[in-house]
Amino acid sequence: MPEHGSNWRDLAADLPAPRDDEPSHLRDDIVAELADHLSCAMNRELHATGDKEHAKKNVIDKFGNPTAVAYRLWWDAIKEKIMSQRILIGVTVIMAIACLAASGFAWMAVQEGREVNRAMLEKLSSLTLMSEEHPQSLNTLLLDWVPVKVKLVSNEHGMVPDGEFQVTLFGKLFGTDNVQVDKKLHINEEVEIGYVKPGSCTLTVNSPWGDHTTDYQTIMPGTPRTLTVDCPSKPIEDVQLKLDVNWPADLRNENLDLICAVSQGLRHIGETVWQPPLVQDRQGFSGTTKRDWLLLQSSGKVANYWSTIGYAGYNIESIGQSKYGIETRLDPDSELMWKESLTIRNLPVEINGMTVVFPSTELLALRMSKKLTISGMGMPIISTWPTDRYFRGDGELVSGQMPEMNGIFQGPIIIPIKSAIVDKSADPLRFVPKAGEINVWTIELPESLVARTREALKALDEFKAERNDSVEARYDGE
Amino acid sequence: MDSRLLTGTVEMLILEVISEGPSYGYQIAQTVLARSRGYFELKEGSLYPALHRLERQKHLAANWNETDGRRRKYYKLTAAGSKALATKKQEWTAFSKGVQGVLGHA
Repeated sequence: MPEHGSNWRDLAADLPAPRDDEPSHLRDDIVAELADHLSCAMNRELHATGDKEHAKKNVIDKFGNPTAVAYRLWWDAIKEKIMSQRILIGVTVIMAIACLAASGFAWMAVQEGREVNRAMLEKLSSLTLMSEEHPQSLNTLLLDWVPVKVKLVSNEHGMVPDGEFQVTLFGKLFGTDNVQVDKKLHINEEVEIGYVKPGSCTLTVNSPWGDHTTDYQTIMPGTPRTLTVDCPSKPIEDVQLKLDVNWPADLRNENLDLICAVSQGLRHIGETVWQPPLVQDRQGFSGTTKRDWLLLQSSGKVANYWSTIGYAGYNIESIGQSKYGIETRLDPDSELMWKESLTIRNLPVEINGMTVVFPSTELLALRMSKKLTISGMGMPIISTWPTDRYFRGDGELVSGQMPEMNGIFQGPIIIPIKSAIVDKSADPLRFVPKAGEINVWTIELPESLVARTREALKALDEFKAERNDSVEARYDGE
Repeated sequence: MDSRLLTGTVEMLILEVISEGPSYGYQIAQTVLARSRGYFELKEGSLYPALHRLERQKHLAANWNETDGRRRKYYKLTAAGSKALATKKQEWTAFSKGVQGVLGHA
């Protein structure tokens, strides 16, 4: 019934304007389907009523609003695209707003920083002017700037040391940059550092003889501060220390030497901890809290190699681990000086680790089997080797040093028994010296060290028996 | 009848009619009306959205034919539609038995 179908052309009247992403046939399909339905219904009603207007009214009554149905079908088909498009637009808008807000905050932060810097500079300028013209008015600015003084006191032995102490205050004192202020003063004197920003800083005091103390200070706002430092009245005196090793009877004749890692305690004056000079300025024992190395001969003589055997401050396990750090020629007249006793600061001494050294002549004999010429030229060599592999009996010398030596050894070789290293850092041996007398410290060897030494000597004997060396050791050196 | 009772069963009725062969909207509505002896009168406002929804869900496939100078859209059941119909019928049977059981006790 084409004539009836043409009556339903307005079905698309309520639909929105066509969209770009809308399928081209969508509207036509909806209209065609609904128009077909309505035409069928119209035919039925015409048959029933015979009156066209009446039939049309019945069709509409039963169907409802055709344009509303058409709109709903169109919306159902397109809503997914519309919603995803709206979500995309929404997310884009939110992101744009977030970016704008972030840019705005960053800009505001930069502006604020500039303002703060400008205000600080102005305040600093005004402070300088005020301190010159009206020093008393500065009290009103204590919250921002705190006047700091340093005072040195000494109650030790009722003595006042001669000479000036050097005071250094370091930190963010006058703004955001680190500033250092140096002053010199005597004991019982006070010195004004100046106006300091509240916060943390470091106070260092150096005595005229080189001892020093360093402490972290917190400057609180609102309160003028005087930093008081307890100082020593004189340098700590030196004492003589003689070291002796109580070797077990069966090891006493083995001509063994002992390497010890040693350190000394700190000097406490009141609540202040003082340290010895940073730079070693004495012959022999450095006396710092860093670990030093002492070599004790079975004869009772002692020498210190604070920078030679190992590295000062290293644990005793570091001995022999560096191939290149051990080939060091020592001048026997200065660094390698065998003494009957050591001169140390009058502070407790601790042994933090120990290891035993094989007798040099034995080792040189073994090295001879490698067809090496050994001659002493008055320039002893301190050398350490990975002896644990060497004495395992595999017949190979494990070291890269021989080519560098050109086949000539120029002095005694110190080879710690690596398997006989004992770390005592957790439970050090300790000795407290006394002033005015020769202090003798007899070192008792830990049982574990003795046991490992015996094992190493046994392994050395077995190795020598296996090699059956026929080469005679020739050694002219010290 | 209360239209709320029809909610949820329209799709099952449509799928059932179409399962017997391709059909179009008006014919589907008349078939349902006739088989239910005038009880289920599918309003076009719910029939066509349901048909389009089932088409989007791939339960129905559609094609167009020319009839009496008009384009007519025919729907036929897909394999997915057959499965959906079987499921809905099972659910309806269980639901119906449950309701019947309660009413029988009453």
